[in-house]
Amino acid sequence: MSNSNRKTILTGKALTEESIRAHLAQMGGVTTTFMRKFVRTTIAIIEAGLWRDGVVKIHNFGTFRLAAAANSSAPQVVFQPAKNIRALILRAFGPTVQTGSRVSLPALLEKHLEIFSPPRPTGALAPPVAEKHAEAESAFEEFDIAEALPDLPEALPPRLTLAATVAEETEPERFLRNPMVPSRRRHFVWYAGAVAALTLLLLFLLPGRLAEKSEPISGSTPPQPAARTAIINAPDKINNGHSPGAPEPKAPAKPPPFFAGATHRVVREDNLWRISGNYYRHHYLWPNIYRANIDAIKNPNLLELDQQLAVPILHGPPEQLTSEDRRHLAEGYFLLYRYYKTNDPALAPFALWAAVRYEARIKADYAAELSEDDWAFLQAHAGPRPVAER
Amino acid sequence: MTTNEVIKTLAARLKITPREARLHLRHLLAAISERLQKGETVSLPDFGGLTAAPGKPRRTFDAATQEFIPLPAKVEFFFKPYKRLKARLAKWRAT
Repeated sequence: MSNSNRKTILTGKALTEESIRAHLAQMGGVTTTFMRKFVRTTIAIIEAGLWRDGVVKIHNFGTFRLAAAANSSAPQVVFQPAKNIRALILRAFGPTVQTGSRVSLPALLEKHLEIFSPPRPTGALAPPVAEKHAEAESAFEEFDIAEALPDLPEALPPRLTLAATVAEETEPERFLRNPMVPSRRRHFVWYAGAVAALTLLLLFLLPGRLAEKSEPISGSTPPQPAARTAIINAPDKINNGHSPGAPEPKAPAKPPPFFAGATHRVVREDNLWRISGNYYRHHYLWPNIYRANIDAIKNPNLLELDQQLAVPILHGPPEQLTSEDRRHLAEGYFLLYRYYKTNDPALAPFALWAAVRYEARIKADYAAELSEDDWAFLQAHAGPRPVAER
Repeated sequence: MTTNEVIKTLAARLKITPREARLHLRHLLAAISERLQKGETVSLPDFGGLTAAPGKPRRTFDAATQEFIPLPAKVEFFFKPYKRLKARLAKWRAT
């Protein structure tokens, strides 16, 4: 099966082979025995569901249903695949498909597990999850299908009774039993409700409008625009006079910031570059986060797991940074310059260069810290603007 | 019974988290559909065999040109219950 197909089957959402492997690794892996028990339990539960409801719907896979057999007293189990599975299989079936071979599920899963599961640690290294699975494995021996769902009815489920009588029904009755019909009815009710609401709204609004329009014609007094404006403007005049109790005029609303600030908990494989990309939609703004957490971050290239980082506010979008944002970024890059100066001097001038590109005054503010080489570097590389501004 | 109910029951029965149960179930279904795509029969122990097979190529009649037009074949799914399931179903019907 191709990789894209596998992705679609597994999730429909963003679950890839890599993410499954990572997740399993995190869980501590599963044994083949456990997976086998899992399969048998699943099948038992499906059967118990069939006993109870007469139908088991599995999302993105299909529906198992009990149906009355035409020439037998016992009901039969029917499988109806989901649309996506049907489409996938139809696509996979070329003109040269070889059918007829048989494979047992446990053997198939063993192979499947080889693909997905990492080797399971043993002995002292075994994670607690493995113990949990071992418990489940030992408990499985007492398992019985009838126990999977305790409230199994003894009589036939009502749905199956309905299905059994379908064969004797006439055509219109069968149409009425079509599961599509209730949904159509429901849609009709919605549409009818919406139309009624609209009509009522129009009935309430239109007379008011008509009355407004007919006012100059039927009324004895002609319209007085001057007087009206005077009444409307009266509260403003009062406000200008700063009378007590009146609401003050509002200042023009400030546009909301591009990013309002947040707290980030460091997870596995996190770094400042990635965090900045996630929150600010731009990787090059990561020194802003470094600046805000300068006390917590000893090495900007190495974050600690579960560390709480403040992601500061960003007023403008990365391509239109405000002066405040630029100042913060310049300070962040300058802090990086300080770090590199002690730890990796070869990189220090580049951090300084970036700081100056964001805010030229940073040179003057921290002139005492800059060496002759730094000044020479800045002079030689008065190059293009930072990437974030392009 | 729905997927969520299956997952909850699985989690309770096997003493794992619902999240794990959901992931394993996805594995299981992925493995089944992978094999079905290859035209193989997947046998679910003590339950039944699941097969997908291409149906007959269909055709339709075009009255205007008086010709038969070939249509692509559909996929047919077969579920064949095994003996034990059949016995259980028969017993159930009898009660």
